Amino acid sequence: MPDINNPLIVQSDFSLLLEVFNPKFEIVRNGLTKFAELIKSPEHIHTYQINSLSLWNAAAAGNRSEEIIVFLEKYSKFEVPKNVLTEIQIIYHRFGMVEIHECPYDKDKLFLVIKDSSVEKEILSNPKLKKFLIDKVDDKKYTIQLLLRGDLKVAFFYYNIPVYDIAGYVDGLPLEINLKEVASSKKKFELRDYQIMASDAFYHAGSKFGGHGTIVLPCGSGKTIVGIKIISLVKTYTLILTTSVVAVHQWINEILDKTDISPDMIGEYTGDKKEIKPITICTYQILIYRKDKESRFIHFDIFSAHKWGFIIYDEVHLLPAPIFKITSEIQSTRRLGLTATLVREDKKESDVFCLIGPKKFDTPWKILEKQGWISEALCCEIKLPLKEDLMMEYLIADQKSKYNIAAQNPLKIEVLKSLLFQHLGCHILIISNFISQINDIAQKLNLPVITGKTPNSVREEQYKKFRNGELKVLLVSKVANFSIDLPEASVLIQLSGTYGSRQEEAQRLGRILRPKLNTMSYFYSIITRDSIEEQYSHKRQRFLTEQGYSYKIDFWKPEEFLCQN
Amino acid sequence: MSELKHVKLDYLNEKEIIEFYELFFGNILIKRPGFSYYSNLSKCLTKDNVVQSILEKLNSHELNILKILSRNIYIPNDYLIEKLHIIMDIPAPIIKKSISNLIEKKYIFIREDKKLVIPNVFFSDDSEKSDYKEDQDDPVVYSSRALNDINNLLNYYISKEIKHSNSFSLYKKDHHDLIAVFSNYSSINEDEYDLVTYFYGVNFVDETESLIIEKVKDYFNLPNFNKTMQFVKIVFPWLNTIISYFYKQNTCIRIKKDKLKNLWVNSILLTEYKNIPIKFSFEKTLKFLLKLNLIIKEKDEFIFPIFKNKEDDEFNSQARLTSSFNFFINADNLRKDFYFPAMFSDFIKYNKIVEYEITEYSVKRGVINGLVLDDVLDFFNSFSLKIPLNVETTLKQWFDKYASYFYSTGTHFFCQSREKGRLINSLVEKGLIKAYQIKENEVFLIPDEHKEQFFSFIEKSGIDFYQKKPIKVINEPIDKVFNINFLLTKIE
Repeated sequence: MPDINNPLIVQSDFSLLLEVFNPKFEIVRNGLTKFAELIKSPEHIHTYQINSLSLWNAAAAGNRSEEIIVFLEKYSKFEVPKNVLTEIQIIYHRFGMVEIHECPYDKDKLFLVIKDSSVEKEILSNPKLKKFLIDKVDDKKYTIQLLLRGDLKVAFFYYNIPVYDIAGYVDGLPLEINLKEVASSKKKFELRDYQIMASDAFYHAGSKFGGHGTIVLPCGSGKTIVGIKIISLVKTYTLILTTSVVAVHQWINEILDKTDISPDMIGEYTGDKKEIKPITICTYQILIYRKDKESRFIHFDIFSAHKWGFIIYDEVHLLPAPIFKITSEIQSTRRLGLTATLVREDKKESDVFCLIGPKKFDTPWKILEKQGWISEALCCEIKLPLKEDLMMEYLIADQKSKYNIAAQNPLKIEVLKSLLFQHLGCHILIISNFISQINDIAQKLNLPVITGKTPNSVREEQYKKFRNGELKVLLVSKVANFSIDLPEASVLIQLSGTYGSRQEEAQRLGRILRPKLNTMSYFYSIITRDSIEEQYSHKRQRFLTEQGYSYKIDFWKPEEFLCQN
Repeated sequence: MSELKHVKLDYLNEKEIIEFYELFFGNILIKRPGFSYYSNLSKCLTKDNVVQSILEKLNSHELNILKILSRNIYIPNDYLIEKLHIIMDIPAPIIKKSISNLIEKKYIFIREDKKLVIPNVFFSDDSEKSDYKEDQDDPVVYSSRALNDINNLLNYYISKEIKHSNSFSLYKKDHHDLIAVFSNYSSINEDEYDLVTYFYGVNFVDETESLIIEKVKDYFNLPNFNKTMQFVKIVFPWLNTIISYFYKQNTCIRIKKDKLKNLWVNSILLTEYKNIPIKFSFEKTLKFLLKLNLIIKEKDEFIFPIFKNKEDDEFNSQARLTSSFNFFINADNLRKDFYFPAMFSDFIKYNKIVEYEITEYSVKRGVINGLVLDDVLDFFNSFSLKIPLNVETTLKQWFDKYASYFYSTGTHFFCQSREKGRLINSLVEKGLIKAYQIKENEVFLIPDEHKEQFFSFIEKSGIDFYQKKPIKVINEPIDKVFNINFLLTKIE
């Protein structure tokens, strides 16, 4: 019943506002995670949105609409708008109306079972949906082509008909793999509660109701471990797709460290090596490589090189479009998407839902931070003036050049020096998008550098030195945005970014979120004030504040630079 | 058209009487002595068939329009086509043509282009008085959800600096955006958005579509019922006349729908409009008034209750400001400065809670509207809000950035000494002339729109002045010669 002391405001446009400073906040936040998308979570008020996708994700995870309605009514401050209650039931009702089942007598076909005659009419009257149906074999039961399973799901979703795919999976070749209790690094290895919950939610005890879906966990919370746990559950030949060669090597190291599998069973499929083993890890870049736009993707053959039983899509929010296409053809294989954020700049979240699978697990960043599984981070933006002699050049430059001038403001090195001094002894990552800026700073401060041109072997060596403390400061280009596991890093200094990319901001912050003993993490952005860089930075800053991070802004005045000199 | 009423034509002037006579009987070449157009015409028009024969010459549109016009002897000519378009719902060009024909054929007359004179001879009097009943009832405390919607729509318009067409309609894109933000929660439907646009366009912005902040303040300072009345006064001036009459009776009024419609037609025709009337049918208007809770429907009757404002309007003054630059406030808040966030932030969401977003450009808009940082900080402080540090710092920076430079156009008025300037300043302070001090008591800037009034006032006041022409920069003759050898040949 509505109670003014409750923390939740349910609005007629399906947005939910949750008051943070309310005793029931945590209960409600945990409940909302199941069926609503967290849009932003600054202090005071968190905004959630209920939409078809979030409700179908909830339905796929086994939540019932009645439970959601009771929950909303129980914690709402005001009366829940009638349209919201009605719509939730209508949307929920559509999930499971159409199912894909196995066809026992023809391995190239599947059954499409429609449970509602009005939905059946809707499908039959729409040529774009009807074309998938081959024969009617029974009342509301049709055969469809196995190979069009993915395309069908995407097409039906477009018309608001989510397809519940319970046709099961083709078994891959079996693989004996188990998790170790003590990792090879001699450290005790134990899965955290949320990692167990995430893997169970995905695996669903091996039934056909599990086996494909996406797990959303913050950077630094151990998504790789969840992936490895699931490999040990499905025990089959596994293909892992990730973002970079370094990430490939990290996967290999983690698998070797945490499981009993021997190194010869793990293959690397990258620009450097082309190994295909029972567990093969490859990069997105190599997969989508082709000589020219007309040529075929020659490395797509890897999908048929083995009888894979499981595919992992690391950083699924970055999955390139051609891989969506090939994924639509391999819907009989178990698939797992791993990501820190389902936000795709290309708005293809629905393709992730249809082709990889619905979200199976998500947990707010702040919960893990509170539990100590990810580090607490303090964000600070330092604004400094543009060097006087560059001002005229800046004023007459075009927009792009303006950004380049502001981002590479030579005074940034002074602030950088000061920060390095302030965090002396900490593991510090310095990140910039401009190679010239990186080289200049590296030369002036005598710092080790990793850019796209750094050979992989050198990169690995540098990362290794950074991890074991031989190097305390590392200067990197945007190659280090993703999938780089540098748990020791506690300070990140951002000299420049890719314009206003929110995703990049989140990923960069993620680099310093690995939990540390009694240490806060610090995320600095150094930007030129009164410049176009400030506008982009504001957009990025807003994204982090929406994730609940407070931001401090500091100004450096010209006199301070004089003092430095 | 059945029986004729008593013919009285004394409101027609001599010329009109002659022309009206000629409409029926043609031009008289030779008049007998003692002939009077007036008495002759008056006598003849008592005959049914005379009028009938002349009406038969009109087409159906002309006839219908004449019938509507014949409800009154005098009708203001301002926006008459638009008014008839609202009443009759026939295309404006047809109305225009028909009126022009009626005037040309001398069925009706126009005086100084200001008012129409309609001889009251064509139809029996259909426009009998609309009767109503009085009903004793206590004043009702006024409240309306639709008024909240209007207030928020106005804030949206302020925040988006909405532009409108000449007829005060929204442009298509703005209309779509508005639907996206408002349709889900607002009780005001898409058709009715234009009413708010009309109010905004007529009352809140000047001819250059710049916001008149004083007008906004005045409106939001009003108690709820007065806000509604202000809205009605601007959007439905005809209704304002009716309601004002009813309220003077100091009792509830009951009136049947057909009688109210009759009143509606007459009031629209007789109301003088300063702006083009908004096209809104009688039925739609009733629905809107019901939403505004200004009237109550009971079977075929409408009740106009007597309202009073809440003695002490309680307002839900909770608000939140987040570090992500979002400001949340209850949609039904009755604060007098409810419009304020719209001045410096973007209205992005409307529901139980209104969500604003402060952006660099919205702050720039605030600066242009004359806000300073302290105004904004004071506003937040009035909610006892803790302003997030990053927001405060960024706001300071933005205000500093956009308030640093500005320009203004107009005429400079120089005073030779500060003493002389004080006189001008006192006139400005008393509101007698409009000018801005550029240098205290020495230099004033007169905006273009006030220039005429400024100089006319000081001329009448006996303050002498002259226009100093700017000194022309005369280019010095070029002190340079070029070699003309190639043009000349020396003859030996």
